[in-house]
Amino acid sequence: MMPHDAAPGTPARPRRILLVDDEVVLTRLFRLNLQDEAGYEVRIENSGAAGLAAVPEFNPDLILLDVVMPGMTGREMAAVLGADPELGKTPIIFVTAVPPEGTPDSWHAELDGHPRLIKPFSTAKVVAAIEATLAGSGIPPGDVV
Amino acid sequence: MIRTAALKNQVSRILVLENLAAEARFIETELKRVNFGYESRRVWTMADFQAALVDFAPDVILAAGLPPEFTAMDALHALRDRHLITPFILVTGTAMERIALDCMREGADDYVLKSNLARLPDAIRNAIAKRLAETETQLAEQVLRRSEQNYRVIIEDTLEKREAELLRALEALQESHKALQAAQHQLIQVAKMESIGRLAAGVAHEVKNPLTVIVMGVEYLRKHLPEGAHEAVQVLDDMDAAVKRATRVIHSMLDFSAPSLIHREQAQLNPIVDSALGLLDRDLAKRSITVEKRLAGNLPRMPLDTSRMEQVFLNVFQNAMEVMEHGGTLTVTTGVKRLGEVAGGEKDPGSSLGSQSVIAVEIEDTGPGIPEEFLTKIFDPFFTTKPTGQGTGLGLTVIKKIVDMHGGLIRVRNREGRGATVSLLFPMERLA
Repeated sequence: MMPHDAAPGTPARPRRILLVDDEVVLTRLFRLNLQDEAGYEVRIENSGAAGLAAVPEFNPDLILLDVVMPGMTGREMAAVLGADPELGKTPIIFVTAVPPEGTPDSWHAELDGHPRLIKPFSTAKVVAAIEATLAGSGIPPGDVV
Repeated sequence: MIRTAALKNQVSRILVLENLAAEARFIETELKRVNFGYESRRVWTMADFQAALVDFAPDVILAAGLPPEFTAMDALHALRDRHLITPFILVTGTAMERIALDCMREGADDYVLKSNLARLPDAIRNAIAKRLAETETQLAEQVLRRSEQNYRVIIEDTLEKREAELLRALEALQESHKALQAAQHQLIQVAKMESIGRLAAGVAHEVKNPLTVIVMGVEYLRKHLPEGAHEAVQVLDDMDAAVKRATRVIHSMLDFSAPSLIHREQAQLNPIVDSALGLLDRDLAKRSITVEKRLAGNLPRMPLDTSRMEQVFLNVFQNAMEVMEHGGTLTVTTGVKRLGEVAGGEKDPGSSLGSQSVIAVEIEDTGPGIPEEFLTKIFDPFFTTKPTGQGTGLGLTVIKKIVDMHGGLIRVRNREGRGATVSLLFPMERLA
């Protein structure tokens, strides 16, 4: 897939994706694949606190955020961001190994309405989810990868 | 029979066997002399004697002089033939003493010599008293026998009742013992399942991250392999398949460990049966398996997680399909039934459930059946009869869990002859 085309008249730039996950090896491979597959510019952070600090500086189009991390969890980081009028607009997709208990609707509420992807997943599915979210169509609840 | 009242009042009816009136008068004179209260009749033929026994009903018989054609012995025999115990006294001359002795041996009560008639009143009294005593003894014995009999009847009756009560108590005890055993078994199962569930959730979380790394690594390598590296592509394909298999196991484990993950809506089971069968259409045809559907037209709706229930049917149908390697018939029946009427339903620990209405789905295959020793294990996690790598051993465990979550029961049994039946039963009252 080619880098995302920007609106007419503005210079094309690759989408910026911030990937926050404490699994170092996973993030490294994940970045390689996202770059290969979609040409995204991917920045990796391996903790919630580092991820939070990177947002204003990197100004990502979307954040892929692990839920269970030592220290600041993904949900806590999302809550801090959400409280910021500007940074809070950045779309987030949670990536998690274990779905929370409850119905798909209740997961959605638990993750503050952010979509989520369940590991393991293929890069193609993550890219599709990113594109759908950025196009505003989102991922329907219950769409478990 | 002796007239007891007459004996007591000392007013006796005496039947005198004597063909000579003069001889008879001697006897009467003697009795009158001692004021013996009596009335008498005299007979000297067998016919009259027989008649007198009936209409005169004597209290005592005095056999005195008789013609040769009707002897004292004849009279005694006639009396005994009628089972009468009327006292029988011989009044004889000295010459007749031998005959008197013979009669005594045959059961006469006494004999009085004509030369000693003064003894006659006492002889009569004694004979009557003796017979009265015997009769009283007999009566007492009769009463005793009757009361013994009554007692036995009462005892037997009581014993019977007691035995029946004990049997009922025993049955009740056995029932409750069985129910307790079943409850205990269920509790152990639940505890086992819960601990496995917790373990599964933990393992799943820890394993999924490394699995994701492998998936990502395989993807990356696939893109960066030099052209024509066919063996390397094969290796990557194998890795990919291995990851998919591991993921399937983990998803099953998570299914099993996340009991609240169920989303119910009012729906009917028939369309879910249809759609699950539809998904297997080609596989069924490939194996030459005929599907026979007997779906009840008026099946009630019930709160269902339709996708979970489809997973249940798919799993049961797939298992049925896999045991019919050389073709066969898969019969799916739905309907509302009494629990007791359903195959295997009577085995429910609470047998009182027998009359409960259930929405039943029965799935029959014509495979070889399930070995008896496996029947109790098939719902255990990781129990599988399939070759390594082909089954997770969690399929039936998960479907049992899903059925449990719907308040249902699952029963598996072998049919007489051939094949197995899986019954999914949803008690109507639990569905309210």
